[in-house]
Amino acid sequence: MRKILLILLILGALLVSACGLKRSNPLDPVGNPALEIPGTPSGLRYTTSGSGPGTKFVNLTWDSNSSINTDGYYIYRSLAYFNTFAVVDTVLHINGNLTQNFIHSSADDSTVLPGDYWYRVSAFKTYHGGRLEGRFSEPLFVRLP
Amino acid sequence: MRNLSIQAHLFVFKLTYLVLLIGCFGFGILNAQTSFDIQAFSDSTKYGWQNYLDRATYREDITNRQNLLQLYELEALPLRTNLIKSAVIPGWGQFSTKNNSKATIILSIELVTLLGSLYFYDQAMVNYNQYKTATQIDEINRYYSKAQTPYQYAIMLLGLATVVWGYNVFDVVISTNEYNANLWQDIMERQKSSPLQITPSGLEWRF
Repeated sequence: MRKILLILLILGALLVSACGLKRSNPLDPVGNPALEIPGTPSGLRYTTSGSGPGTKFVNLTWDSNSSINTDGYYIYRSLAYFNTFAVVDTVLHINGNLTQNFIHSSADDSTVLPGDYWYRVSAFKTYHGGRLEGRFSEPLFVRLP
Repeated sequence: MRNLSIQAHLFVFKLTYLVLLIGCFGFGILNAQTSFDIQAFSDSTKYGWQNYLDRATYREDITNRQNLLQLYELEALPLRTNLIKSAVIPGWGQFSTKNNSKATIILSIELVTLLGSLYFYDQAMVNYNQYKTATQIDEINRYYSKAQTPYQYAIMLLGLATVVWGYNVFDVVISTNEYNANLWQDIMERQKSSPLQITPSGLEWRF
């Protein structure tokens, strides 16, 4: 009887260890080791338009990623640190530049108004299964006068 | 002259064959008659009875046992039927053998493990579907982890349900055999204790 129980336990352990979920996402680097995870953008900084009337903008700059793992960047904005960040635009990676740049302007986006915002950036790389997005940069607080 | 000699030889041969044949039959019949013991055959004490009263009692006992055997065959549980019952609904066979506590426990464990397995599998699939469409590396990893844990619970519970089901099938064989073994004893007890008897031919009142 003990032998039967032991065999059942071993079979159960084998069953549990053998039955993992398949890594079926084509953008999952664990399931597809050939995929390069885009690097995390760093050195995010900003300048803004001045106070007073006229076009309002936030000029974001960050250090370039390697072109091996990056085809472009997503720019996110939120009204608070822990709020949901929404994509405001996509920027293509420019090879050879030491820094990358994005201007979020009221000329293109009517939601660019004076106030406090949080911006963050992530890089992406395009594969046949879609765009694999890397980790987010640390959110940057921006006060637009 | 030569033909006459052949015919004589043939006649001698036929005669010898006939004599041998008659001899064999005769010996067989005589031998058979001497080895058959008519007294032993007609000895009524060889079955254990000494007189007609004993013989009648013996016959009545045999008739009673035959009736009980028929009753046993009516009430006994076929192993195959019980096995199928328990294989389809775990515990059903044990209910038939009047092992209600064991049957309830088996059925409850089976229901809890199967429903639990279904619940965790559903949870796993919700996260797994999100994993499949995720494009951001942290989301890919997070949804996969969130899918993997309930999936393993689901598999473990399914494994437990399978083990319980296997035990249930194994147990129903033992239960049925025990039930049938006890049934004969039970029928004998009932027969002795009650003046009203249930027999295959109907009800019988004994004075």
